Amino acid sequence: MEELNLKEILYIILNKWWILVISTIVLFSACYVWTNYYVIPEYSSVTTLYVGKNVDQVGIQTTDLNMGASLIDDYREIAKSKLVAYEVIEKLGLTGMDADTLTSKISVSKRGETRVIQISVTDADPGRALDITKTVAEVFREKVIEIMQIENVQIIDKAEMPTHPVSPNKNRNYLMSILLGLAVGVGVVFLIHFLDDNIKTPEDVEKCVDLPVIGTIPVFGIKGGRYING
Amino acid sequence: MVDNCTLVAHTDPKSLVSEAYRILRTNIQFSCVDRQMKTFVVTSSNPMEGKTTTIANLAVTFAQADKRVLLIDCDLRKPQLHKMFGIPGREGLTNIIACHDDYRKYIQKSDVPNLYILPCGTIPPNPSELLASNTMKQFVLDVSNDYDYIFMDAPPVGNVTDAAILSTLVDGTILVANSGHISGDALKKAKEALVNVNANIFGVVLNKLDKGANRKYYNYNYYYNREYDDGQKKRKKRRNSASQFDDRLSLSLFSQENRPLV
Repeated sequence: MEELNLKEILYIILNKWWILVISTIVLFSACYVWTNYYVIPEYSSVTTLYVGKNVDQVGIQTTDLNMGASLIDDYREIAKSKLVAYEVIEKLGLTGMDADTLTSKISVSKRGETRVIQISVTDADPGRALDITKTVAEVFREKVIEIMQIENVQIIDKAEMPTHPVSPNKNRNYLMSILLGLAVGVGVVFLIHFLDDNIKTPEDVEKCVDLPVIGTIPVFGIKGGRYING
Repeated sequence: MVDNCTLVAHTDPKSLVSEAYRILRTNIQFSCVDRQMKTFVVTSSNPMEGKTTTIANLAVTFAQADKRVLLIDCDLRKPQLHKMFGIPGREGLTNIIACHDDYRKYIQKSDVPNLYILPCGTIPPNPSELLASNTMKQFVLDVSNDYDYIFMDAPPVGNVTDAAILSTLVDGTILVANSGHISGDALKKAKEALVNVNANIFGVVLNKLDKGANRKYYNYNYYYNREYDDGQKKRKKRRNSASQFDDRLSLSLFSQENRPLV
């Protein structure tokens, strides 16, 4: 492999800048078309719930605090269980949607180090996203009370009608496509550079045929009707 | 009349390109000190790599160094040297070899002092045979006594065998490579063709070097050029300010003269 210093690398890239421009334009326009015409926008509705501990237990112990961290996984599993899913489907009368599809729309996360959990549902239809979120929250509350024997489960923020789609994230996609375009362009430039075995420098001559270079003559003469010299 | 653009060593001896040819001349001269080399053939792998331009400028550069130089157009297929130097090319090398004529009759003076040219002459049907003949061999031996350096322009070694034949008659073979356009394989083949006939390959001249792609080889030229330009500008500036100063001085002298003497 040839040794290259930073200047030469920069020069190689700048010398074929149009490859970078083309690859960036191609990828960006592909991304633009894909984002705006092919991806179905999805809406997300969010609700938060407080899941406390039973009132009969007095005081807070460190074990309780540690438990909090792992309990989120329990809640997630419950929220995304088939049990909840079937009930939501039944309640909303969502014919044509199976439990797996529904659970894939639900995501559960914890708000910081609190006992507040957040349930969000993403769907192509904002109204349906709202309905599902509401119903999931209700069913989830019932099931947590039933299964985990926790009585203090409250809905804090009710689900609202989403106004803006969460996906596709246009700006992020555009940025990614530009970066990817530049990266691909640089790759292509280097590929061309290393596949090109034409003699360009005295080193190339010496490496290729092991003959001394006794002189280097710069380009001169008429080029484009202009006399260039040196 | 010489071709203005290609014969840059003659028309523009202060240019960077002419400087590059002088560097080439110096390299050849210093390599020849021990070996007593005076006859050279210049060839390339492919056509259009700049053989004729290189050899013509190189010969001019040698002539400028007060050497008696003979330039022979041995490209019996597509002779170009006479056009470049603006001399009649109807009679020349082929007449000498084919007719066993005296070579002195055909050698012409060029516009460049000390530089003599022998054009190709009539294009023969059998160039390789002519070049391989004993007459040619004898001619090269004879003529080399009359001049300090003899350069021969040959057809590309990759296409025809002429250059390989010529390389056996001379002291050194110079290979011109068109930078950026010649592949490594083509250069290797050219070297093989010459090595097969035991030619003494003197070295490679990398022609049409792109300034950008070979930035580091141009640093010297850049600096040289810049300092040279700066120097000129500064000198001009200094002269300007000096003349201004003179003007002011004369003006003040003038006004002093006009002032009534107290």
